[in-house]
Amino acid sequence: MPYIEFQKVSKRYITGDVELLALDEADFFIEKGELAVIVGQSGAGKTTLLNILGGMDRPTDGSVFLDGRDVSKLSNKELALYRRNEIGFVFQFYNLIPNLTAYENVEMAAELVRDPMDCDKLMADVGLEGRKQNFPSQLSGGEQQRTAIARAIAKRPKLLLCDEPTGALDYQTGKSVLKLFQSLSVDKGITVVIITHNSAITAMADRVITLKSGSVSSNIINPNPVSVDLIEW
Amino acid sequence: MRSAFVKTVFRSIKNSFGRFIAIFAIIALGVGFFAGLKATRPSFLQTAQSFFERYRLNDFRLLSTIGIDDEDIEYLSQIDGVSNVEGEYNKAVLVSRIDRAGEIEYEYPYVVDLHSLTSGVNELSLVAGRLPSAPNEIVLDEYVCSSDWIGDTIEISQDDEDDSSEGMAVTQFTVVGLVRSPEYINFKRGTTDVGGGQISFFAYVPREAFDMDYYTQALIYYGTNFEIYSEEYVDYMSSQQEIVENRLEEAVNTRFNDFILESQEEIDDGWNEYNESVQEALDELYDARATLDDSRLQLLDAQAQIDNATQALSEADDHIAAAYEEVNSNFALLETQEQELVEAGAQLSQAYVDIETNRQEATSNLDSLTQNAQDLNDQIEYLTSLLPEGQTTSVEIETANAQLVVVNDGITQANEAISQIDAAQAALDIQNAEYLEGLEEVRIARVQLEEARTQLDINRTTWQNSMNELQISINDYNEGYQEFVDGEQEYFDGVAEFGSSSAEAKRELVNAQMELDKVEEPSVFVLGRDMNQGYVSFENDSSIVDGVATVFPLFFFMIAALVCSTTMQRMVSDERTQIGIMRALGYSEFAIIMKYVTYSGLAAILGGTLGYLGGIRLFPYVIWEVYGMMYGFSGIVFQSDVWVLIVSMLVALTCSVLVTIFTAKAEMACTPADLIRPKAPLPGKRILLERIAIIWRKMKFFQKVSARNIFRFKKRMFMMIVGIAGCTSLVITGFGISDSIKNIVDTQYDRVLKYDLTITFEDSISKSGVIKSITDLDEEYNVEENHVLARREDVTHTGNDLIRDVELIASSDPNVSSIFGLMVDGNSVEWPSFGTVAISSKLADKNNIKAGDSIVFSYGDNGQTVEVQVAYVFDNYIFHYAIMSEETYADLFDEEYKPNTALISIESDNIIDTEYAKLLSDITDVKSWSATSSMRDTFQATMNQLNLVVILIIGCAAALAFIVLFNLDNINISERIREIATLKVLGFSRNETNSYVFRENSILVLLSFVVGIPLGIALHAFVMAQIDMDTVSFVVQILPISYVYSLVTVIVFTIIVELIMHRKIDKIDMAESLKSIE
Ligand SMILES: Nc1ncnc2c1ncn2[C@@H]1O[C@H](COP(=O)(O)OP(=O)(O)OP(=O)(O)O)[C@@H](O)[C@H]1O
Ligand SMILES: [Mg+2]
Repeated sequence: MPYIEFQKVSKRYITGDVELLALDEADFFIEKGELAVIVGQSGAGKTTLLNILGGMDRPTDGSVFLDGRDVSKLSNKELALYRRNEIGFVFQFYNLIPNLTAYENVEMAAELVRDPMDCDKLMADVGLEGRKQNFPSQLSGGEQQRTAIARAIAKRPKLLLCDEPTGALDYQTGKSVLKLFQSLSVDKGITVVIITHNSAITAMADRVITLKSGSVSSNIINPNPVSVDLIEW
Repeated sequence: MRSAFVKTVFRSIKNSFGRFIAIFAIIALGVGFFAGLKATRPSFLQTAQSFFERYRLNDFRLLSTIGIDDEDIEYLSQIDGVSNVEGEYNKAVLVSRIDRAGEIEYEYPYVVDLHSLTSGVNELSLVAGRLPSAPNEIVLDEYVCSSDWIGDTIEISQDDEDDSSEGMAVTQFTVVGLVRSPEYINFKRGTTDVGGGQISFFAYVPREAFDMDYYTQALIYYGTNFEIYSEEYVDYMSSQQEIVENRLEEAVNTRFNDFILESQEEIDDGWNEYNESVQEALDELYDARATLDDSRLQLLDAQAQIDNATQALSEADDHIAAAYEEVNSNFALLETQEQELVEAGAQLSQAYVDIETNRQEATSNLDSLTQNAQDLNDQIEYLTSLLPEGQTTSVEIETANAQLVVVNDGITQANEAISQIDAAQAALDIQNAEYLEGLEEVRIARVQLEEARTQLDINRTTWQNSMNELQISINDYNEGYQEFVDGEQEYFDGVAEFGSSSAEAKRELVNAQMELDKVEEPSVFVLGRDMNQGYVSFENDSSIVDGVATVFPLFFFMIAALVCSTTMQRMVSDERTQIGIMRALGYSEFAIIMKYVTYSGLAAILGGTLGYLGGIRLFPYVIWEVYGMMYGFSGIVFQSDVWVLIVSMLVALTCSVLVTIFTAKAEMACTPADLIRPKAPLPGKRILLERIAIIWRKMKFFQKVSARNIFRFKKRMFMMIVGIAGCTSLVITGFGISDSIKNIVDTQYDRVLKYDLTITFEDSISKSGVIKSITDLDEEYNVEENHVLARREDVTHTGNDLIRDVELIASSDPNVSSIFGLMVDGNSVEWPSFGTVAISSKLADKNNIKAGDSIVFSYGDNGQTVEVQVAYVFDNYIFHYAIMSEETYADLFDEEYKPNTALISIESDNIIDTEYAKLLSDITDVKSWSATSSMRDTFQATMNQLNLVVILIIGCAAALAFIVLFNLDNINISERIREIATLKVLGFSRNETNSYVFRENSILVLLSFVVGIPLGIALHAFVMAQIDMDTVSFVVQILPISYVYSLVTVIVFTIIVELIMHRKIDKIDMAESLKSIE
C-alpha cells in the first residue's frame, strides 16, 4: 500500500441551490519520502484536496489513507492529534501568530509534540538565526514563510503540506523556500506535497499530480528531479 | 446615491448583526437602567396619586374628644375649597367568621377595624363581589381576606370585655365583597386596645349598622390637583389645617358648652331628687322608730305584769304547798295517834285477855284450891276416920292439916288475886273507855283533815289555771318581743341601707360633678395625610431607588461608549479596503463617516428607544411588584419625565455617534492608498514584563503569549476591566447592601432594645402600684420577666434638616442595663452620669453632635426646651433615643421624677408579649403599650424588601457582564479567526485552543477584581449613603464572605459566557479561514 492514497475522494459543496463538486472521485497515491507537486487550474480542487489530506476538512465520499490509516474516518479529536503529530502545514499567507516572535512561533509548534526538533538549529536551517526575536510584522514575506516552514517541520511531521508556498514571494525568495523543501525531502526523508501554479516547479518533483475539475487527470513520476538551483522561471 | 447609502448601511447591519446588537443592547441597557430607575419614583407617585384621586383619600381626618355630629359636618363643609366632608363611625371590634355551612372558623379571633361607608371621600376600590347595599352587609380587606370569604358571615363578639357590640345596630353581616381602601395603602393595619392589640384587617359596613350618638370622626376631601407629597400640597394643607381646626373647635365648643349646661342641670336635678328621696327615707325611718318605741313600752308593761303574776302565783304556790304540808303532817300525827290508839287498843284487848286469863287462872286456881281444900278436908276426915283405924297416922293428918292450912292460904290468896283482877278489870274498863274516846277523836280529826285536803286540792287547781294563764301571756310577750326585735333589725337594716344607698347616690352625683368639673374643654384633632402611616412610608419607600438612579447608569453608559468604540473600530478596520476604494472613488470623508454614524446612531436610537420604553416600564413594574407585598393597592401607572428621555437619548447618542466619529476619524487618518492595502494585524510588541527577566523566564510559554495579548489590545483590556470591575463592584455592592441591612434589626432588638414590651401607665398609677400589678400578674400566670421602670417622654430635636422624634428614657433602675444595651463601638458603657445624656448614633450623626457637645430637646405642647450635655453617642440602629438618669431628668425638667413606663422583657415562653400586655392592662390603668415584636416585624419586612433590590442589582450586574463579555469575546474571536484557525491546523486540541483564547480573559477578570473590589467598596458606601433612612442607621459593612460570593458570582458569569463562546470557536472552519486575507 502506498504511503498516501486517495480512493474515490469526492467533496461536494452546496451553496444555496448551487451544488459544486470540488473533488470528483479523485484517485491517486504518493509514496513515502517523495516530493510531490500538485498542479491544476484555478478552481480545480487543489486546496480542497490538500485540506482533506491535512485533516482540516473531510471528504464527502471516499477514503484517504496515510501510512495505512483511514484519515477520513477519524473523529474530530483524533483529527486534531493527527494534525498535531503527523502533518506540517505551510500556507500561502504564512499565518504566523502576530504576537509571537519568529522563534516563539516555532517554539509554540515544538511545544505541541513530544520529540520536537531543536528550535535554534531549525532557525539556523531556515537561515533566520539573526531574526529569531523579531515579530512577524518585522519580517519580510520570505522570512515569514521560512518561519512558517520551520514551524511546520519543528513537530517532525510525517507529511509536509504546502499550499502555494511561493505565491506571495519574489523569485529569489521563492527559490530559497523551494530549496528548503527539496532538502527536507532529500535529506530528512519527509514526504512533501506542494501545490503550485508554477509548472516550472514540477521539474524538481519526484511526482507530479495534475487535477482537472476535481479529478486526477495524471499522476506522473519524474524520473529525474532536478535541483531547484537549476530551475528557472 | 441616497438609496445606495441606505443599502450599504443596511448591508453593514446585516453583515455584522452581532455588533449592531451589541451596541443596541448596551445602549438599551444603559438607557433602560437610567430611565427605569428615574421613572420608578414618578411612576410610584403617579400610581399613588391616581389611586388617591380616584378613591379620594381624605386630606384631613378630624377627631374630637366629644365626637362629631351632623351639625358639625354641615359647619365644616362650609369651608372654602372643601369638596366633601363625611362623618364616619369607626370602631375596633372582635369578630368571628362563620362560613356558609354555619361552621365557626374561630371564635372571635379577628380584631377588625370597622368603618362606616362614606361617599365622596375614602371610597373603596372593589376587588371582588359588590359593595354593601343593606345594613347587614359587609365588605372586607382584600389584602388579608380572600374571595372565598364572600358569602360567609361575620359576627361581632357579644358581651366581651371590649364591648365589641356596643354601639352597633347590627352584629351579623354577610360578606358581599373585597375592597381596598385608600386609607390603608401599605400592609400595616395598625394597633388598637381591643383584643390582642394588632388589627387583623379592616371592614366597611353601611352607616345604619352603627348605633352611636356621634360620628367617631369626620373626613375631609379637598380634591386639589397638587401632586402628593409636593411642597404645594404640604403648604396648602398646612394652611388649611388651621382653618379646619378652628372650624372644628368652634363647632365642637358650641356643642360642648350646651353639653356642659345640660349635664350640670342633670346633676342638679339629681341632687334635688337625691335630697327628696333622702327626706322621704328619713321620715319613713322615724315612723318606724316611733312604732318600735311604743311597742317596746308595751312590752315592758307586759313584762311587769307577768312578773307580778309570777310572783303572786309563786307565793300562792308556797302557801298551798305549806298547807299541804300541814295537812300532811296532821295526817301523819293523826296516823301516829291512831297508831297509838290501835296499839293501846291492842294492849287493852291483850290486857282484857290477860285479865280474863288471870281471872280464869285465879278462878281455876281457887277452884282447884277449893277442890284441894275439899279434898284435904275429905282426906283429913278420911284420915281422921282412918286415924282410929290407925291406918293413918296423925302426922299424915297433920301434914294434911298443914297442907290444908297452906291450901287455905292459897285460897285466901286466890281470892285476893281475884279481887285484884277485878280491880284491874275496873281500871281496864276505864282505860277502854278512854281508848274509845280517843278513837272517836281521831275519826273526827280525820274528817277534818280530809276536808282541809279537799280544800287544798281545789286551791291547787285554781293556781294551776292561773299558772297556765300566765304561761300564755308569757308566750304572747315573747312573741311580741321577737316581733319587736325583728322590727328593730329591720329598722337598722333600713338605716344601713339608707346610709349606703344614699351615700352611693351622693357619691355618684359627686363623681358626676367631679367628672363634669374635670371635663376639659373638648380637644379636637385634625390629622393630615402625614399622620397616615401608609401614606408617609410610601413617600420614603418610593424614593429609595431614586438615590441610586444616577450612579448605576453611569457605569452602563461608560461601558456603552467603550463597546461602541471597540465595535466601530473593528468595523472600520474590517471595511478598510472598502473605505479606501470609496475614498479613491472620491467619496468625502464625511460621507463615509456618515455611514458609520448612521450605523451606530441607528443602533443607539433603536436601543435607546427600546431601553427607554422598556426601562420605564420594566423597572417600575418589577420594583412595584417587589413593593406589592407592602403596597399592593393598585396596578402601576407608568410615568416618566420628558427630560429623562432627552438625557437618555443625548447620552446614548454621545456614547455611540460621537464615539464613532472619533474612532472612524482616527482609523481613516491615512491616505486612501494605505487604506486599500490590508491592515496588518496589530503587530506584536514586547511588553514591560519581558524586561523583568526573572519573572518572564519563569513563565510558561502560553502565559507569555497571553500576557502579550492582553497588552496588545489596550482599549479592549480597558473595556474589559471597566466592565468586569463594574460588574464586580455592583455585585459587591449588592451583597454589601444585604450585609449592611441584614443584621440591624436583630442587633437592634437583641442587643440594644432587649425588652419586649413598652407599657406606659396612666399618671394616676404609682410606682408601687405598677410593681404590684406586674408581680401579681407574674404570680398568677407564672411568668418570668425582667422589668425596668422608667420615665418615657416623646421629645423632639430640631436639626438642620429635620425635626426628629426622639424617645427620651430616664431611669436609674440598677437593672436597666439588662434591658437597654448601651454600647459604644460594640463595648458596653455605663449609664450616663448626672447632668448628661446619651444619644443614639443616628441622631448624633445627622446633627453632627459629638460627646461633650450639648443638645436641645423640645417637649410639651408649648415647645418648652431643655439643653443638656451629651455624655456619649451609643450604637443604635432604629429610631432615635436619648438616655439619662432619674436625677438628670428631675433636674432638667424641674419636676419630681416619677416613672410612667415599664420596659418588660418576658423570659418565660408560656405567654406571648401581647397577651401579657393585654392582661396587665386588664388589672391596671395602662395608657398605651407597644410590643417590640411588631416593630421588629415591620422593620424586618422593610429590610426584606431591600433584599429584592439587591437581587435586582446583581441581575443588572449580570446583564452588564454578559454584554461586555459577549461583545469583547465576539470581537476578539472574529478578529483572531485566522490565529485560532492556525492553532487548530497546528493541532491544538479543543481545550488548548479555548484556553489559549480565554486565558487572557481570566487574567483580565483577575485584574478587574483588583479594580472592582475597591470600586465596589466605594460604590457600596455611596449607595448606602443614598438609601439612608432617617430612622434607621445601617451598619455600612461588607462581610469577607461577601467578597468571596461576589468574585465567585463574576467568575460564574465569565464561565457562562466562555462556555457559549467555545461553540463559536468550535465552529471556526480552518480551511475557510485560512484561504486568504479577507
Ligand atoms: N467552502 C466552499 N464553498 C463552496 N465552494 C467552494 C468552497 N471551497 C472551495 N470551493 C469551490 O471548490 C472548487 C475548488 O476550489 P479550490 O480552492 O480547491 O481550488 P484551487 O484549485 O485551490 O484553486 P486556486 O488555484 O485558485 O487556489 C472551486 O470551484 C471553489 O469555488
Ligand atoms: Mg487554492
